[in-house]
Amino acid sequence: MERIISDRALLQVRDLNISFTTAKGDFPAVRGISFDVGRNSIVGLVGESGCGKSVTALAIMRLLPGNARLSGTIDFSGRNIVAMHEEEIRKLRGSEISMIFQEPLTSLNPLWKVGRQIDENLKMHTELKGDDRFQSVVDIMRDVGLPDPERLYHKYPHELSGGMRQRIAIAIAVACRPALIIADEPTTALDVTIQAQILQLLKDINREKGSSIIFISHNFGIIREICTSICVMYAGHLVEIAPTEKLFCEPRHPYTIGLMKAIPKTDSKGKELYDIPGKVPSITDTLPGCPFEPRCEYAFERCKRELPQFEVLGEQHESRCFLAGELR
Amino acid sequence: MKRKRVSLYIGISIIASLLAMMVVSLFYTPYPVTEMNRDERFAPPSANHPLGTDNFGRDVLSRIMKGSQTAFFVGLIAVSVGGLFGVLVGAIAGYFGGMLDEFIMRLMDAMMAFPGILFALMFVSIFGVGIRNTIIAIGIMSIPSFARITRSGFIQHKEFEYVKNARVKGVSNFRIMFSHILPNVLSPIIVAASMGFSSAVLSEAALSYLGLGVQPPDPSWGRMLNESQVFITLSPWYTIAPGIFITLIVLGFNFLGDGIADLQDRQQ
Amino acid sequence: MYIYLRKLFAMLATVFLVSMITFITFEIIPGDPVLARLGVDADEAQIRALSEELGLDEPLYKRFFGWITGLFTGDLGQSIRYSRPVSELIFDRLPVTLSLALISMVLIVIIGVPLGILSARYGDRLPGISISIVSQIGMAVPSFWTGIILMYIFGLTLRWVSPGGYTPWSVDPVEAFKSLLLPAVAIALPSIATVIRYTRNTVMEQMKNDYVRLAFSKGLKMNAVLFRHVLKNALIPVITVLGMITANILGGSIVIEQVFTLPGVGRLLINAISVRDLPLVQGMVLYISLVIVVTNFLIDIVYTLIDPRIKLR
Repeated sequence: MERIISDRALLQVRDLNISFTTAKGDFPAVRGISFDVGRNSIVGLVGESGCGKSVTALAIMRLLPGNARLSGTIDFSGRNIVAMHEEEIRKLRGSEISMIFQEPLTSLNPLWKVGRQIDENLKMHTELKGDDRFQSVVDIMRDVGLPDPERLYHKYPHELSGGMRQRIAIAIAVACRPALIIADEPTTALDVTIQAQILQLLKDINREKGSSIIFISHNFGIIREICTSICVMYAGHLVEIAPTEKLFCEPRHPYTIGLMKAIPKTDSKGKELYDIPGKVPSITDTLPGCPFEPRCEYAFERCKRELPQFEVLGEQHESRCFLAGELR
Repeated sequence: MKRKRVSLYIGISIIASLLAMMVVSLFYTPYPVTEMNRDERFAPPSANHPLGTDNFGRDVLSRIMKGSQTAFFVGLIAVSVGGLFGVLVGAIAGYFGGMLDEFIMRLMDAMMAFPGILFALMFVSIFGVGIRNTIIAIGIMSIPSFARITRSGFIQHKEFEYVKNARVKGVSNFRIMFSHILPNVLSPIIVAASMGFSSAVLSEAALSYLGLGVQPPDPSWGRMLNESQVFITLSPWYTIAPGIFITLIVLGFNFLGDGIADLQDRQQ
Repeated sequence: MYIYLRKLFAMLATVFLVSMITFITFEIIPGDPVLARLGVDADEAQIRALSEELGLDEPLYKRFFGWITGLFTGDLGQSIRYSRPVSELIFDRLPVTLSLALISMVLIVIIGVPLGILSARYGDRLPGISISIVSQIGMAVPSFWTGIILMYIFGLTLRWVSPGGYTPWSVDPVEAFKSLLLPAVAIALPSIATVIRYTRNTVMEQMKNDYVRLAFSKGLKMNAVLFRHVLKNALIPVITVLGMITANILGGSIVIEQVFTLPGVGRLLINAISVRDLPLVQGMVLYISLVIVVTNFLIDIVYTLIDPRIKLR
């Protein structure tokens, strides 16, 4: 497979397959995806729920349940995460790669003071002790925009607002200055104004601390606002990959085009919102051809039989469609 | 997934074997239950007496078989009594809600917090010792668990469309409760009945062990433990046999209940 | 502070309710307690004299309040069988039963909770399956039978402990503990099994939560996640179950004291029932339910100490 390989990429995912073994058989959740996350970049993983984006994120952290089978490589600054021993990946977690989850209320331990939950990271991965560590926690809290951190340190999650909780979760993620942060729908549970603040905070962290971010969302609008490049996923496949502006100006996969039509626009009031017809195929269906074929308005005979390969359309722009060159 | 079925099968096979033994004992026991034999006191297990003999030389296996009648009888009647009242009370609480519900459930909570055996003892101390009062006491003790389960089922189902439709059509509350909703919430009640059966058997055994439950000459496994304990150094198997059978029947109904519950979980 | 006051008030209300129910239950008993004591041949004057002595000529509500104040002054009337004050008899026996219950409770917590966690951790693997099979059996074995068997093995055959009887703590604490250990184990076993199953389920439920994934994503080891994060969260529902188990323990204690001939409240109760010494039975039912109510109150307090969210509610 011809791929543009940026040598300086922080994370290189190559031909990653993830399947789950159950009593009823093996179910593939992610099928042979490859993408890069460059240093200092924000890469978006976008797709409808069930497309495999969260599973991919958990695979990078190696946090999938025991019945998950992985193949392919996930190269993180020269080390293959897929082949790592548990102890090795454990040391990476929280120090070099960290994660932010969707629901800030449930992702914090309800019985621990929030300060202590940030402190736990430093305790695990640094030599800091006592007052120094407390001071670091307070500094981190201030960095993520939490007011009066000395007081907030002693609060429990249920005593804080949703936005503040998500800032705590971000503080936990950035505590050890990781090279890579995986944010799984970090703003979905928040209301719009808080959403904008959190996005800004993540952008600041990316710019000032140099952490790369994998940003997972089903919302194209948010993805566009924050990401430098975008991977579009559908039914476990990567279908299109491009720098953000390129993707928005020249989408080259019918699925991407459909998703973009579905973005609510300010001038479209009163008009019916576009929706891609049909449903996401179930994880149990395996189609020989293109997974999007049953819902695709451009589909023709060949799409049913054969899975298209990636077509390189320009610098860092690839689409997995037979018509990629012709779609406008 | 497959492992879950196992509880159901184990439960069914234990209960079926014990039930078979009970049915056989209605017509046949190896020896007459009360036949004493001075020459064969405390005999160890042998071909003639597979579970040995007791302090009067009576055949332990025959008495165990006869005792299964008591266990099933007490369990069945107590669970029916408890189930009848528990379902009724729980249905009323769940269907009508409000203050009535609050009052009934407080009462049920208080009953649950009270040691069952203490209640049963209090009951027999007031109304007298014997199998009838034992059954009533155990039945009353099992009301709260039925009430709770029925109530939660009713609370869930009374919001469903089919109930609202029935109400619009002017079906009486009584009919809605017992011919519309009840059949739909029956399966958790069956699980409760299975579990209730095992705790009824345990309570009966404990009461009879204390000498305050089933009275002689009615045979009871708990009673046998009471009688055998004194002779444990002379003949341990006489003590071991009734205990194993109590454990088996309780285990059987627990497995059965678990198995049915798992089956439901999977159907949903 | 307000929440504790409210809980205290709720507890006192329950105490009042329980004593009222106990009182009324024994009021509706068929048979006249005066006749029961004097026999059917007693004449009018004798009956009136005893009724007055026992305060039975007063109206019901007055007698109830007389009785309930007796609960606090320690005067619950006279035992018919022993001709001693009921509360004195009970207080003589209470230490045995309470220490038995306490040892059982400790056993239940220190054995049940860790095994439950272990069983959750090794879920479908051999240790997990064997723990759940053993606990299934543990719930089915009648505790008094376990008691008899334990006594036979450790008391009569191996002679590690005395096969029954009781040495008071004041005489020899080591012997006292030894005389209570086997009965406590017998009482605890079914509840240990219950706690194992319950802990296992709540831990497995908690493990699905996001905060567990976050803990793993911080780089914590399995054991650290289990014991630092999950345990405390899983304990909250387990503590509720301990409240219900208190009732099981005291119920078990009534039977087990009989097995091991321990001079506790349970044995007194059985004696009182068999001779129909109703004032004594009434007093004991009240005390046992009081112990349960107070324990549940204490458990409620522990609950608020563990869970910071409760204070807001």
